[in-house]
Amino acid sequence: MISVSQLRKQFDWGFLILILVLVAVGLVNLYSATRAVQGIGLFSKQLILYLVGFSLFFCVTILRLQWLQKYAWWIYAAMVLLLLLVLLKGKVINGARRWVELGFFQLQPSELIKIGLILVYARLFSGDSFDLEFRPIPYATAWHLVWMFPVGLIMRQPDLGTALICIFIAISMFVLAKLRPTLKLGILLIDGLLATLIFVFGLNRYQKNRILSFLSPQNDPLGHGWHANQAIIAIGSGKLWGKGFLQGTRTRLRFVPEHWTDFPFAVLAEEWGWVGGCVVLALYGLLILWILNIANETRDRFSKNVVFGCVALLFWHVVMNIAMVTRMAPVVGVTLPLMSYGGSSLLTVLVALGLCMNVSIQNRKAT
Amino acid sequence: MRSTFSQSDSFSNRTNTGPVGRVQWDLKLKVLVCLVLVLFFGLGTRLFYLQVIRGDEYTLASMEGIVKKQNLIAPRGEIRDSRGRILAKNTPNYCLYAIPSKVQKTRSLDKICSHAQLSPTDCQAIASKILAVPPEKKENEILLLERITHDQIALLESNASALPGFHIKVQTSRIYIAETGHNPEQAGIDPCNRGRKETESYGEYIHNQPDICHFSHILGYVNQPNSTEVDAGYSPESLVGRSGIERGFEEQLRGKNGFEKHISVPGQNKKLDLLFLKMLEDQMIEGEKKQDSIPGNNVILTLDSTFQKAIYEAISNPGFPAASAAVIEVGTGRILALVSRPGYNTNLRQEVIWEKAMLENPYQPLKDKALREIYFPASTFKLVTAVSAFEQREKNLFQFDPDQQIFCHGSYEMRGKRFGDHEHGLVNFHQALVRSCNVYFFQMAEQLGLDTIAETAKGFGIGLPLNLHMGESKGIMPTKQYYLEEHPDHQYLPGQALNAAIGQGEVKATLLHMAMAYEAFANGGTLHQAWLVDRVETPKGELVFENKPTSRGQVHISADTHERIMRAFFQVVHSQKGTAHKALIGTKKEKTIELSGKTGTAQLGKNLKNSHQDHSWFIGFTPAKKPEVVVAIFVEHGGHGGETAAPMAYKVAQRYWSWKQAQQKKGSK
Repeated sequence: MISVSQLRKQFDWGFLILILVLVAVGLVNLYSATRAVQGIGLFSKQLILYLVGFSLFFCVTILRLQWLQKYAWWIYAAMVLLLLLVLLKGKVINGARRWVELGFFQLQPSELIKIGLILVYARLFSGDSFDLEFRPIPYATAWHLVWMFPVGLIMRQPDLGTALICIFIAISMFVLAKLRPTLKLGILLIDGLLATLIFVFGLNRYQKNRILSFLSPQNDPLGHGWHANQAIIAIGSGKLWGKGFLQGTRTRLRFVPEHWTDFPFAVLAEEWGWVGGCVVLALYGLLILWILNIANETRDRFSKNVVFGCVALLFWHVVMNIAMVTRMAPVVGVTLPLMSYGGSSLLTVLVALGLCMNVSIQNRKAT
Repeated sequence: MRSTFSQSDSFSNRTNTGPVGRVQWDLKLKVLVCLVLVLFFGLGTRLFYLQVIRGDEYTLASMEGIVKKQNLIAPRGEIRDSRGRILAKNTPNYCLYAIPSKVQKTRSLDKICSHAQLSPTDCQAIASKILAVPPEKKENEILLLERITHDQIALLESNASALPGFHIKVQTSRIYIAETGHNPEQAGIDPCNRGRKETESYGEYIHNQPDICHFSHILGYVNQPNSTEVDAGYSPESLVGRSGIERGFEEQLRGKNGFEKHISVPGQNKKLDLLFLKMLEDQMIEGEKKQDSIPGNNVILTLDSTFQKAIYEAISNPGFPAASAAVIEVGTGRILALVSRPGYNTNLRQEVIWEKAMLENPYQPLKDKALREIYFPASTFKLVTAVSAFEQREKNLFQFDPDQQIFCHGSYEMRGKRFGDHEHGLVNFHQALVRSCNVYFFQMAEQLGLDTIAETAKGFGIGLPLNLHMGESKGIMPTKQYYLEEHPDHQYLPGQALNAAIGQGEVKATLLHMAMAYEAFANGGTLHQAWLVDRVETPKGELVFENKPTSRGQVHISADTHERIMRAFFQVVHSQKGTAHKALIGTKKEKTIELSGKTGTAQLGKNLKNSHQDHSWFIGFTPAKKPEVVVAIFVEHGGHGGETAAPMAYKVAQRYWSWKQAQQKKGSK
């Protein structure tokens, strides 16, 4: 274990401050998003979740990564079990079975599995370099199985957004892994072909329509494209400087439904305009670059892979969410890290950031 | 990737990172950094496009649908009788609405049927209404049921939580009541017109409402405006008068709608804080926020519903269900009673089954036989011919001695054409009128010519508009010109004058036309405007305008002419030879009411002649010497005027006197 004074010296304060700035922006925005419709209830609940989340963050920060490496498969297995539990005993909200009732809050295991995936892949691709170079097929097969099983369970809920994020994390980590590039390319091409087939035959109509309506949302203003159109109107009407804090009429009048979960960026862009939106984009960009820098600095392959996984998680969440809110991608329900309301997503993101912080501290310790 | 992999220590677990301290970025990471920067730049550009380039457009779109303008419907004015009793008023109509997107199809539908105690047919109708809504309209409320009862409301309200998506709204509909008593308690006792109990709903009420038939044609009815009327400024929720007073006085009754602008929130969200709403209102509502509606004015009729009802009953005769009557005040033209039988219950008008029954009824209740239907006036028209003849005689344009007798052998021949009649023997003018000798009038007509008679008829208002604006007919008074225009292929025959002289041929008039003509004669020649509306008041009771007797023209009637015709009219009823002597059968001589007048028997066209009896007329005055009122009766297919119409007229006159007596008693109290 490390002493407190050591920790203080080795702690990545800049990283923490960056996170706290984003958290502050997220909370201010969430306050505006939830105040008009839900009163202060949702907001205070989220504050409590932040306390829990940051406790977890610091726990993860001082955890021994070797320990995580050792038990990665067990953690993964536990989370897959939780996913099974959801399908058996989960709570149904809006037609999807995604939640496990935990008294004061509902846990969404499909969020946690992302951490499980990151740890397992980090361990898988930090194996013996000789193995990785000369026996790639077993690794590739393992890679497939590891994501396919939980993704299959998540699609049963159904939750297309989370499933996609899981796949993106898996692909990102695969691409960044130490495998032969020709092999990676070949496997991804075959997977792409299979994915097309699955879209055509595998998705249910509700999921397919949602993706398809993205392509021409004007055709059904009250149907599946409704959310996307309303978000666009809210964002567009924010113009350059925004309408001001608590003045976002479009989002606060709930033209953008459930804007505090999947559409907080619409609230932000309406109230703070293009300038506000760009500042937040820049903050996210900075955060991601910071984490990439941590990955660059680390020498331990497992740690590096973990950081790659975490950065993939953050990156895809931010990009998918903002692309979805600005109608560049289908509305599939992906949260915006540190800004969306919702406990499971917040905890997952803070654990991921905690892992990055952990690696960063390890890096400083090494120097 | 290759670069990392191809480092020298590729078989170790550690990456080669150069000197300790500032770490070099390897190629893989550089590529990643570029990827992140490019994607984030892309998102920023997209935001720039949405917010800066198309910002104004989206700002406009964001205003859309937030500010809603709600019409404040002006309450429609009431219609009251001459004693202030309400005849037509507004009543709340409780309607069941649903927002289809919120209705849980199977469960809620079953529940609403049991909770609202709906019949299986209503239940199915509701279900199909909800299911028929196209998906893009699922957020809009739709009307399911109108006029639900208080019991149903209570059941629905108490189960509201189990019925998401359903709600009850109050609308206004029109109810016609024709109360006969001042006191609501008394009205409750009245067997015909029960007063309305407070607990009764509109639906229950109209089904319990036995009879407002004596007012159906006068009051008319209302319904929703059609699309052109909505374009012309009617609010879709308001009501438009379609017939009767409701139509004639639409402008007075409708009032002026106001509006209120407010912030509308989509869907179920009712939890918005008020300060925020207030702020939005100040920000987004341009111009006036609210304009109050101006309620419609009340229309007060000249009719007394007690008397109107009495007359309606007086002309009831099971043998002749289709009839009409008018009682007009002599000297003013004020209408005291105007009824058409059979009447109908206006309150049931919207119901399809009811309307079908009405249309299939052989006595055509929906037709207004006093104002809108035109008939041959038959012998009642002889008044016009006679006045015309005397007028021409005074001007020395026409020679005839009213005391000289001519011989009537039952027919008259003119230029080889025979005009038939009964044989009356030797008749002078007086006798000809009393016994209704056509030949005598044929002879007059031949010398007078059609246009002279038509001229006098115009003076009496026949063939001219009645100006009541209630959709009444104008009638027809043919002239030579008329025949040339209407039947250019036939040659005009001077014989048409003969037909016209006895109110046949093509002369057609409404009951009110004839009544007004007789009123003009009775008052000495002034043709009055008939009036049904005494005054119009604001809801607070301020006078908007008051009707006064107005003259529409003058017919020259000398004292001698007046006296001669009056005498003859008296004999029509009171002498044994008079055509209307049967009116007095069964009355005690000492109690006989003075009634004078003229009968008429309108011959039907060829196609009806064999299957139906002629129409029966009687128009007269009471009292005979110095008439107070004109009594006009028309009985469809009533046969001879003296047989059916005259006895009814006598009854009407009786009712008039007893009503007047009651009025005076009340007045002296």
